[in-house]
Amino acid sequence: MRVDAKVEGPRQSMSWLHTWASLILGWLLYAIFLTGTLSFFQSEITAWMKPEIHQSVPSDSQVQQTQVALNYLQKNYPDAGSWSIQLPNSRQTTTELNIRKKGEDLQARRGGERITLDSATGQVIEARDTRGGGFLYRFHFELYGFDRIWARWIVGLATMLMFVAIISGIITHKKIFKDFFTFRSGKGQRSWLDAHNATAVFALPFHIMITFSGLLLLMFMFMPWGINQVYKDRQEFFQEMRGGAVQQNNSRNRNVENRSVSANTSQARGITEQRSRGERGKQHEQEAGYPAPLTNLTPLIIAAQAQWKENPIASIQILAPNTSNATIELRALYAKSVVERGVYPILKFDGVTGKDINETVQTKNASIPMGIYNVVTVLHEARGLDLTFRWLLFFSGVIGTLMIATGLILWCVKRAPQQQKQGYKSFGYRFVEVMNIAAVIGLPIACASYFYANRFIPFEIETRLNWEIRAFFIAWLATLIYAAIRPHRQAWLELLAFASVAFALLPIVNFTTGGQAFWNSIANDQWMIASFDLMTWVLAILFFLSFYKVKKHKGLPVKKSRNAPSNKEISA
Amino acid sequence: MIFFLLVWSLSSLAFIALASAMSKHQKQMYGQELTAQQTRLASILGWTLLLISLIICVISGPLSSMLSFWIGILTFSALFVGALLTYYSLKVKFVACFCAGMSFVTSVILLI
Repeated sequence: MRVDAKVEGPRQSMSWLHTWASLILGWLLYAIFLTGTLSFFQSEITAWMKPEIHQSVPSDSQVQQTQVALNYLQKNYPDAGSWSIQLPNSRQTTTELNIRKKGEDLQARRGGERITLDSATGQVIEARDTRGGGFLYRFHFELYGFDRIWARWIVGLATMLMFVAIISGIITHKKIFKDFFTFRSGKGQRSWLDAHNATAVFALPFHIMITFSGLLLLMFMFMPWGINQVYKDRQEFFQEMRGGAVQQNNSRNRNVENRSVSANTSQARGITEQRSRGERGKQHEQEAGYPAPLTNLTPLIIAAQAQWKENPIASIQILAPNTSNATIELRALYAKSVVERGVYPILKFDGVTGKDINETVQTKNASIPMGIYNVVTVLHEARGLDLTFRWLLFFSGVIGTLMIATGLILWCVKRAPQQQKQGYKSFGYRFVEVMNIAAVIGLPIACASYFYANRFIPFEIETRLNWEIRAFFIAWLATLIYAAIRPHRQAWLELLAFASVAFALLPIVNFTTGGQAFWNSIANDQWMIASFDLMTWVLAILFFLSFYKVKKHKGLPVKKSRNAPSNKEISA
Repeated sequence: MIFFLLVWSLSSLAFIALASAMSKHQKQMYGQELTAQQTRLASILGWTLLLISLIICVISGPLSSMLSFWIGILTFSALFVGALLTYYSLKVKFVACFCAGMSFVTSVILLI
């Protein structure tokens, strides 16, 4: 789009589109990418933010872990409608229980009483009230303080612009293959462009996957008309879409019903004289079953471990425990594959005899569109993926975040000579400069203050959970104000130094405020806590190196330099 | 982790070979341009190694998961080779030997 109306090729027009589509919501995209990347480890962040649970050091044996949970449940909830035991794993250090009363909907996603147990001692742990990693996760697609639907539309629009930026960026990039491995450091604008290109090209499949799946995850909100035409209730559509999962649940329900009937038939022979009690009582007994001891779970766990090998048991659900209707379902931690959304290896046993009651359910192959939807959305959410895969996605997210950051800075670097020539900074340029600082370094500082608030806000304060979130936004706003009132280079330097110190001190704050010290968490194999501490040090080092680079950068004299000076040079 | 190291080292080796087939990186790494025959050999070696790493991935688990895993690993092997060429281009031969050694050791561990 040239003002002089000269003809431009597709590459030039795409360059214009790339620049402006990226900038307009670039800061929001950066925030979505950064918080989204952290969300790959939201369980670990939540674990770190609940230092009370750090005391739980699970035994290596899943048999032992299950026994601890069962002892607690038998003692305190022997007559429950169902028990769900989520065993500790590489991302969770405690045992999480969900207990539902008789008559409660056992298939409902929410509900039941939740209890956190020390996996070794069986002691109940009351952790502090915090949103933990869940806040960052929710923020990355629902923002905060907005109406949920509006927020999702805004995030959706940003995602669409990201998609436009990716496609136009590919077209604009002149030499994707020729410059594939090229990074020319210390050359001002050229280096920023190389860094932007390298982070874009190396992780291009990730960028496409995460952006496209982001749109797919929101598509039922963007384009509801098809569903509304065919289905009266949206839930009906979602149930049909999740065909496999519904099928499994139905078969499980049917199974419980069948077993209930057969158990009652055998019992009925001996209790014919009690028929006079009335239909209501009989029906109640049929549903509830008869008291019967729960089978020993050890052989079932050993059988599951032998079958699943490196895929550990994630959870054990016991329906109608201590009755003749009891069934036990073991679920594996990792999903079968990424093309099947939410399908995990499952084993079912009779809760009284321990007999294998698995049904061979033929899962039909997903259609190609459904398969694509499943693969990209499962990868986006890292559902049921192992730790190596999760780290790959996390670091790809880091590269994506750096791509956006370098792109935002490049906008300024490219326009710096013009600004210098005119002798003053125009409002638009200064606005982008300030916003860049507030986003690129302000958001990590906001995250750090969220973690500090988690440890320093007293328990007694009501709604301390909200104060943690307020600390996040207050810190973020403070960096924006700071960036606006300080000279450009100074603002970068001071905030980088501040971020470096803030992140470096977090592991120390952790163990001085009740958390597990990193040397203990490493010794105890509690990597979900140790990796958080170690990652904050990695970030501190990165911020320090950035600080050092900016500090050292003197800026070349304009006459001698053939390359455009960087934004830091301008303000120097 | 061992599996990751195997695929990563193989694909890094593949990318080093592919970079060796590019004239501007040849000067960086070897101080001179390679002959046309050597260039073609490097190119064939690079693509073959990439294909081997893909085959190893695909036969090790569900196609959809392992294909995604392979693509994910390529990002980091390419990033590694890119950084290597920028900052330690003269040490490429040593790193290539290291990657080959790592591929050998990890594959032996996995085979045992």
